[in-house]
Amino acid sequence: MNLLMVILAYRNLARNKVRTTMVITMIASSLVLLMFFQGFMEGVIEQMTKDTVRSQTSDITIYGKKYRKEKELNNRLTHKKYVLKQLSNVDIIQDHFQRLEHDAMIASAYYSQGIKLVGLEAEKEKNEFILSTRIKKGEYHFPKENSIWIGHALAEKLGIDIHRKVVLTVQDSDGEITGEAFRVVATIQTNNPKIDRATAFISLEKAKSFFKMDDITQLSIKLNNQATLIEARDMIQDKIGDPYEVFTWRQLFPSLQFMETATSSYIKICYAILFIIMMIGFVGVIMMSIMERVREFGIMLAIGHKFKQISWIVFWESLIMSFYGFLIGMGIGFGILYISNQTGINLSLFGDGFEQFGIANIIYPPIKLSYCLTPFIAIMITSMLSIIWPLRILYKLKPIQSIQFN
Amino acid sequence: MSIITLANISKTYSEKTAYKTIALDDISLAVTEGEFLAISGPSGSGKTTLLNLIGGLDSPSKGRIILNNNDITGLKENELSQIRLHHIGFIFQAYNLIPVLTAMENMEYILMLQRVKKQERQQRVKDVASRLKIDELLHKKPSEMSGGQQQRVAIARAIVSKPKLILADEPTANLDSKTSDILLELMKELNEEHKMTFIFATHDSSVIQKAKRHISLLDGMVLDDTTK
Repeated sequence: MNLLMVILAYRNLARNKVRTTMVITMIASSLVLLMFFQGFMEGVIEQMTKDTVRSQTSDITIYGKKYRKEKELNNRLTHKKYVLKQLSNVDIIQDHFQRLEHDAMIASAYYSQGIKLVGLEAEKEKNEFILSTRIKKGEYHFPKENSIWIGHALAEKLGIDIHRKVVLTVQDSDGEITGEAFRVVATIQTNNPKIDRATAFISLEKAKSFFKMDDITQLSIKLNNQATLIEARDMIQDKIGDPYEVFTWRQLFPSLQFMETATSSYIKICYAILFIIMMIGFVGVIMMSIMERVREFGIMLAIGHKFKQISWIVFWESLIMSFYGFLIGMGIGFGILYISNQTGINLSLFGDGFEQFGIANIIYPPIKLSYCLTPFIAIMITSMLSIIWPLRILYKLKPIQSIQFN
Repeated sequence: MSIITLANISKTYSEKTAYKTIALDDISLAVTEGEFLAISGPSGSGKTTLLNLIGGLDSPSKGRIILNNNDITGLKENELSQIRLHHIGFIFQAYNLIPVLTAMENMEYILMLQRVKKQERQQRVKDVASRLKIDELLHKKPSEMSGGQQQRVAIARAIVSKPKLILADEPTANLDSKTSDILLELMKELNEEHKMTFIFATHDSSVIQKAKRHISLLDGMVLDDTTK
């Protein structure tokens, strides 16, 4: 019996091809827009997260007890060997990276300013951190002891380029002011304004000698599996004990988590708005379609149809249109996302200055299966809800009223 | 034996308003199985209303309707639709075939609603099509047929499920006299061969002439009830 209803629904849809095509186009274009919007927004967030997090840390980061509150060398991560030994037999840890960070003053012949000076293990970080991929000029390595990389915006402010000298002044671990000249071997562009405008990088060994200490300020840990983030943090904290504080990257960058949540909510609101609009349009179309055929439905009731069976026909009509709209929308949507994912969306075509907000000029939207699931459920629910009111109007009519309906 | 009995049936429209209209006023009549009955009267006399009440398409304001010894007054719409499906065939003035189905599918459709098996369905459709000489129309859609052809298919649809009662509302009104005569003759044969009860609401004198019984209505009341 249901097959008969499906056949009738199909043929009814073919009766008014223009209207059916319009509805399918409406659903498909809504979906394409939503998918592109969701992909774009998630691409922005992913890129911001990657640029912010992977330029500064890995999955989990260990600091000295009070370092996060007061970034003083006195609060540095001491007894590094003990910590590394404690972590050496933890199988969920894939790798670890040491950094030594402290405030410094950088000066060129034209300008000077306060910066964050970071000592890092360049070769070891190469594949985990993003700096190696964000070299604007120069090369990702420290050819000499006093080689330095600086943010590209900082280089502009200092009025220098690669191969030029800068002077760094720091307060070492003994509290003495000391300074040295460094040669710029690379400029870096990360889309993270803090790094681009006010950070410089030297080798970890040079940083240790510069600050006259063997300790570090940060130990970043890469896990085998991101899903174990919280459990891993707790386990590491238990192993190394109280003198240290352990954070996940989400804890270190709460603003990113907020942005992620806010964007996700924003996308959901957009979905809701679009589907409400779509439902209103859908109700109009179904209503028109039913009103045009009230007499026909009246005849069907007269020859022995139950109202339930007529509801099934209308339901199938709505579902078939929605399903085609969904399939076409998904096809085009994924096609556009795939192309965008491969080529990137160049925001500089629409204006400058996005990087000032931490947004890259080129966004690569991700392609996720979840882009299918939510719209599929939403469209099916929308199509089902949108037939209720028109059918209710039909239900209130007696067969003879339907037959005589004008 | 009465197939349909109407007891003191009245139908009033817009009852509680200033536009109150009495369509049928205290009508009682009985129709026995195998009758070929024509109900006539001027426009507004209540003949279509009477037919609609007999067919359960509308409900009376007063009185009772007994179909096959079952009181159908006050039944729910779903119960009435089952009665219509299994016991009553309808023929309408405007043919009213389902436009997206072919003639064969239109005929088969009722049998499908009755859950008749495919083989039997197709056999019955072929038999009726052959009887009504519409074999060559079976794969045509209503839009591809003339009025007479459509009405022929509509009659086939009404009788294919072998109902005991056929209600025909102005079945010849949109047809030329020749086609009208052929179809009336056909219905008369079906009435005589299969003892199907036909009730017509009509203005057409040729229908009235062929009818075995003629009820004349005026202002919702029976003016005359004659059996030949």
